[in-house]
Amino acid sequence: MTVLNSFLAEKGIYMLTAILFFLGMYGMVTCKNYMKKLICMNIMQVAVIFFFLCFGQKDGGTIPVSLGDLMAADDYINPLPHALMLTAIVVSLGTTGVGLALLMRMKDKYGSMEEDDIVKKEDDL
Amino acid sequence: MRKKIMIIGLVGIISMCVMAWYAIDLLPAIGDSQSAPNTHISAVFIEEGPEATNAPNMVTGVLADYRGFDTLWETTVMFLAGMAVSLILSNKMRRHWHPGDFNELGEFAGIVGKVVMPIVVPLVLLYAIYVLMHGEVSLGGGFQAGALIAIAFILYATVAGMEFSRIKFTQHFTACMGAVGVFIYAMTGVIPMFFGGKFLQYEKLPFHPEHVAELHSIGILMIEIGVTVTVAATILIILAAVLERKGLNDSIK
Repeated sequence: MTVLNSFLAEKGIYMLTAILFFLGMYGMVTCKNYMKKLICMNIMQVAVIFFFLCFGQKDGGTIPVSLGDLMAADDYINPLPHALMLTAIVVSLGTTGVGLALLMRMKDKYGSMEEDDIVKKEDDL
Repeated sequence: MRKKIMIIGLVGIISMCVMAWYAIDLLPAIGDSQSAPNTHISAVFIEEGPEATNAPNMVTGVLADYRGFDTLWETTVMFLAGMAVSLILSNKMRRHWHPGDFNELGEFAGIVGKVVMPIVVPLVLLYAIYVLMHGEVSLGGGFQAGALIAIAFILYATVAGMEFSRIKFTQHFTACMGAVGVFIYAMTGVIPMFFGGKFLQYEKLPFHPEHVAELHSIGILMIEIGVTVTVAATILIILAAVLERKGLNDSIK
C-alpha cells in the first residue's frame, strides 16, 4: 500500500495530465462537430500547461516572490515554468479566438458545423 | 467509415497511453528539488534574479527581463491574432455601429446595468491597475491585468449590454489600442539603443532615479503597460468583431 501511495504522490499527477491530454486528442479524432474538435484542442492545451507546471513544484518551497531572509534556491518553487505557461495561456486564448472566428465563417457558408453536412454541401457544389 | 476512424483513433490513443505509462518512470518526482528542471538555470533565476532585475517577483523578472525579447513576440502574436479575427469576420455579415443604434432595453438589463455594474466594474478595473502596478513587487503582471480590464467590459457586453459602457469598443478603437501596446513595448526596447545600450537594456533608459537598479523597475513597468494594453485590446477586438455580426446582438436594430 505504501508503494502505491508513494507512486501516486510522486507520479500520480502525470497520469491525470496524460488522461486529460489523450481525452482531448481522442475528441479531436472522433468528434464530428468542428466546434467540439476546437474545444477538445483546448483541453489538450490545458493538459500540456498542467504538465509543465508540475515540473516547477518543490517540497517546502514557497511562491516565487523574494522574501529577503530566504535566499536559497530550494526555498522557492521554480519560476521558469510559470513564466513560460503564463504567456502560453494568453496566446492559446488568441488562437482559440481565431479558430472560433473561422468557425463562424464556416457556419455562414455551409449553415452547419457538422462534418457530414459540410462534406455533403461540398459534393453538391 | 466513421466507425473505422473511431476504432483507429481509439487504438492509437490506447497505445500512446501505454507508451506514456512507461515514460512516467523517466519523469522527475513531484516536489523533488534536485530534479533536472529545478536545478541548472532555475537556481540562477531564483538566487540572482531579484538582485539582477530589481524585481522581487521572479516570474515577472524572468518574463519581462531575462526573456523580454520572447515576451515581445508573444505580445505581437496576441495582436496578430486579434487582427486575424477582425479580418476573418469583416465580410458582408459585418454591421457598423452608430450612436443611437440601440433599442430600448429590457427591465432586467436596466437594473443590472444601472445598479450592479457601477459597483462591480470600478472594483474590477481598480484591481486590474493594482495587479499591473504590483507586477514586479508581488504577484501580478501585464497579462493578468489585461485580462481583468477585458473582463470588465465583457461583463458589460454579456450581462448588461454594451450600451451601458461609457467607452464604445469598436473594432477600429481596439485595433488601434493593440497596435499602441505593441508600440510601447517595442519602443521600450529601442530607446536604450539611442543611449548606447542594446535592445531592451533597461540600464540605458534615459531616466535618472537614485539607484541604477531602479531603471529595471521602470523598464519592466513600461513593457507591462504595453502588454496590458495589447492583451486587453486583443480580447476586446474579438468581442467587438463577434458583437458586430448581424443577428448576434439583439439590442442593435
